[in-house]
Amino acid sequence: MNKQIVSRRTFLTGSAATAALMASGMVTLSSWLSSSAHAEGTGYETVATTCNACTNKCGVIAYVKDGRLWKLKGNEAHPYSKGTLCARGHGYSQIAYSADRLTEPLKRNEDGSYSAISWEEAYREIGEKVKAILAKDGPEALAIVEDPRPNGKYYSKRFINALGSSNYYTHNATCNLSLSSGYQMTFGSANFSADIASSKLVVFIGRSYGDGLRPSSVATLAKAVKNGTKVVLVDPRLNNSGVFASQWLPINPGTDLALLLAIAHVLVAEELYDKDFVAKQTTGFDEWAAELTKYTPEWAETLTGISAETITNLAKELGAAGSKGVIEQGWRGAFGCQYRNSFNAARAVAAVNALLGNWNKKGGALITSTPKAEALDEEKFPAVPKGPQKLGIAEYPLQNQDNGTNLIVVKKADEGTLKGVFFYNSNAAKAYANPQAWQDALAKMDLKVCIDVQMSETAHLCDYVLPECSYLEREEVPDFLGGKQGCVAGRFQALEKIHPETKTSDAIYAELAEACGVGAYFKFSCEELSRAQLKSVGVSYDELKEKGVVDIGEPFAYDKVPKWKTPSEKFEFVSQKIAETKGLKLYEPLIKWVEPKVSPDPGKGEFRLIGGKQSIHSHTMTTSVEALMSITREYALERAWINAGKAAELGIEDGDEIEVSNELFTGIVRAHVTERLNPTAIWIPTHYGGSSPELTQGFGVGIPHMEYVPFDIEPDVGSAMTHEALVTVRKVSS
Amino acid sequence: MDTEQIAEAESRIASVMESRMESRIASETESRIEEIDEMLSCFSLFYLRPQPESWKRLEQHNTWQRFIGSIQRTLERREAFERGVFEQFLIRRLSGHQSGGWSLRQLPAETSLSLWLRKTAGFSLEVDELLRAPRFETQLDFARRHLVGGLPVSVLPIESLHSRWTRQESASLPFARQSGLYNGDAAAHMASLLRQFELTVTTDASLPPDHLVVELNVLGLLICYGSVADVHQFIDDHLSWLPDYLDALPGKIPSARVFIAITILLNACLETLYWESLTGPEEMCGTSQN
Repeated sequence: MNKQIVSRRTFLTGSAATAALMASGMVTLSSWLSSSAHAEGTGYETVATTCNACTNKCGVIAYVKDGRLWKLKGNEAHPYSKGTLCARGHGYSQIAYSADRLTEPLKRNEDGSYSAISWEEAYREIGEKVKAILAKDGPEALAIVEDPRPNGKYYSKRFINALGSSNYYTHNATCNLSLSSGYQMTFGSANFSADIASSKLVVFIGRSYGDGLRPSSVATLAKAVKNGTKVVLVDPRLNNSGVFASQWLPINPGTDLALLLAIAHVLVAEELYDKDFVAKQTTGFDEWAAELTKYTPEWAETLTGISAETITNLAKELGAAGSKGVIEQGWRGAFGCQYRNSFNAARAVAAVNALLGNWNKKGGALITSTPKAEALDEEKFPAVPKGPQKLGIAEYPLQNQDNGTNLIVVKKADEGTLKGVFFYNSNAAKAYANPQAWQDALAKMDLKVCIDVQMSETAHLCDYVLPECSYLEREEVPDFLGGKQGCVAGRFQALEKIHPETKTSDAIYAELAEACGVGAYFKFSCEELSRAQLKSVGVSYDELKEKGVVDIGEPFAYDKVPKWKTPSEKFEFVSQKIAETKGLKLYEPLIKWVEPKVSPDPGKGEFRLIGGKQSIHSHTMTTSVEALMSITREYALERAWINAGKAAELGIEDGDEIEVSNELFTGIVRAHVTERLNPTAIWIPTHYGGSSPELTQGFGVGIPHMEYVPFDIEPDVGSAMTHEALVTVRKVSS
Repeated sequence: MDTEQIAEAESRIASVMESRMESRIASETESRIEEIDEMLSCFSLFYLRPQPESWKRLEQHNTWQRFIGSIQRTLERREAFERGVFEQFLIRRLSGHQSGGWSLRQLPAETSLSLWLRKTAGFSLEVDELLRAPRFETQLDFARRHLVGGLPVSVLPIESLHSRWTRQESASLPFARQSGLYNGDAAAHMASLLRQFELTVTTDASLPPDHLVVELNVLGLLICYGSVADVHQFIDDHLSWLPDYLDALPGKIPSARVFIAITILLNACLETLYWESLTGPEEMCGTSQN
């Protein structure tokens, strides 16, 4: 008998019984399929966790059979899902099993390809490079950019702070930085919540629940409309919330501020505002009222394209609704980050609500609080050092400093002062600003590290790509949620790790920190941290694990005077903070009209390129999901919208291929010809135009929004001005 | 000796001859089984990150020669291998003989396999590319670039990526009936087989149960200890995805010629084993009296 030199025992070992077991016969695949449980509701393990298909992280109950995800349901206790999961929530779960998943750490080769390396090698090399940057350029030469999830909010910040840097940035510069910054300058908090369920009249400026993120928002809106709430949409596009609206104002994009100033003008001129509230709760009214005199509806008509009569009537209706009329808070919508005047548009939204006197009133604008963990034992969870001022604050001093402006990474890398960057759960280089600007900036940096589950366009530009396990395979720190009832939601592990060489983000950060010499700040497990945080607010870890959501604190009480976190401790029509800030380039303490950066010249065939969401996708993240992209394909959702009249002028019919072009980019896409769009705009969904060949589903589908947008930053605030781009359009083929 | 004694003696001789023949068959069968088992193990080495020790064994001249010889012997049993006109033409050209009388088995294994690849699979590989095992460093670099997930040049050999995720109706997720996902029914069934047979995956690579390496080595065990029917069924259940995997290789990794050739040869060997296992153990082990 020949002795085997290469033996199967290299790969498999058996027991003493193996031979006999094999001799007695194999259970075939078909027999096994037949014997597996088929009946609904039998043999499942259920795990309460949270979705990761978008920033909402709706509560989810995962049903697991024999270690595999089998079904998903919305967690009824979660305020954002209330038992319903959207298409993304169902479809994105595929990511756990996706062939696009990263399975091992990767290092970029000189030819631009990637090779797998061990975690030890990755940590060692990254640690060496971080230490070299710290030694030569200091901690301010390092930054981290993320789209926050529960773990990221804690660990990404802690990691960069532990290195001595304050340069923690979220995605918000391309989401709602202008909005939150503007709100902070008026009422002192980053956001409020329109009490739609009890409103008589709700005005949406650019935001669409029907195309957006939260199932519970749509349910609330539907119920409110059924109960008689009037809904007005102010949007260049009649979006999918139109089914709830009784009026659509097809406003010229970039002019929402003019509309709001004119509404304010009417409220003041006709004394329809809440005088008592204004007198007791605000400052700067007289100065602002004087400014408002020039913002007549007739003036606004020339800018907005909305008739003076319509503007006046809307203002009067709001006045009549009083504290039960509300301008909805928005998110990204029309003034989250889109225009050179978005910051002031946000301030104007808040100011109109102040004129209505609806703050913290039933049916009005509610400032709710968000519970948070109390201070933890410093011995177990040592405080990280306080570093120098975050980069970007000096240049953009009116920004919401919790988010920062991630665009400063591009600027500083270009200047050569930022040397290393980490990305977590972020496709910044594709979606946060012009991709070429990101690419050029990153090429100048000494170290780029991306932590992700798939090979995004941003990962493609990085030196090291570290694979995180999917959200279904990991536990994260508790997610504290504000609202009318504060609560905490938990993400718990539903599946065993599918790829053994992937890690949770807390493990990655702790091990990276060790390699970078700051491991002392991470000597605790994620579970230990969760238990400590929950204990500090009186919530049991086990209860949260069982239910997925636990309420914290008392429900919101109407009519309590808001705690205005402004310098004056009042609502500020004239911002004291802005008045005290030196070196501002654009904004003034008073809420004034500010022109958008660009305006389309119809004579030159120009359109403003605007983008928006579709409810089946989240940014670029979900275009790798077959189930969701099949919906895109079936309904041709990647198409660019063009106004029917304009299309007729250009000889374009529905379904024709059109070339959308500007000095930065040219792309071809099919046209959706519609009456539902302002004629000065071309609208595209912002999810498409994928250029990462690994993400095969989305590769080459549709056109990429940010490629058309020049790299620029909203003065004083730091947003990406994502709608300040003009394009021309021509027909390519039928 | 009288007639009766002669008949009795002849009967005893025949009985001895028969038992010797059975011994010889059993011995040849056992030898052939071992050869198939080792062949499958050698094939396995190409589909995961090479370890220095095991790859060194493969690199040994005798081991490599035995490996490709075992492939040659497996493929010889394919009808076309010996009886094709083209092979006869080549035999005449290569051997200088005018009449068919030599078979390709008399050529060095690497030569005959190169010819087989060109003729049967339409794949060109130089003779010397099969003369020896690829170098460890070359194989390691290949594995790091391609036997890893999430890249367009990934060629991870995992069955679930080539089959429907589940056929079970109770799975209500939108992707349940898709193919191209990890951890499908293939993986779940393989996991249950590993439990059934009390097998453990021992390689450092932490392979999923439906990884080609696991499946090849389970097949090797079935050939050793299981029934021919189970061998046949196992190939049907868990190795019929290999042609799809193979089809994608030239587009993804066109320059990885040895890897593609090895996969073509593996696929052909599995096909041979599959059809042979229809007929019985002698055929499988090449000990047919014909």
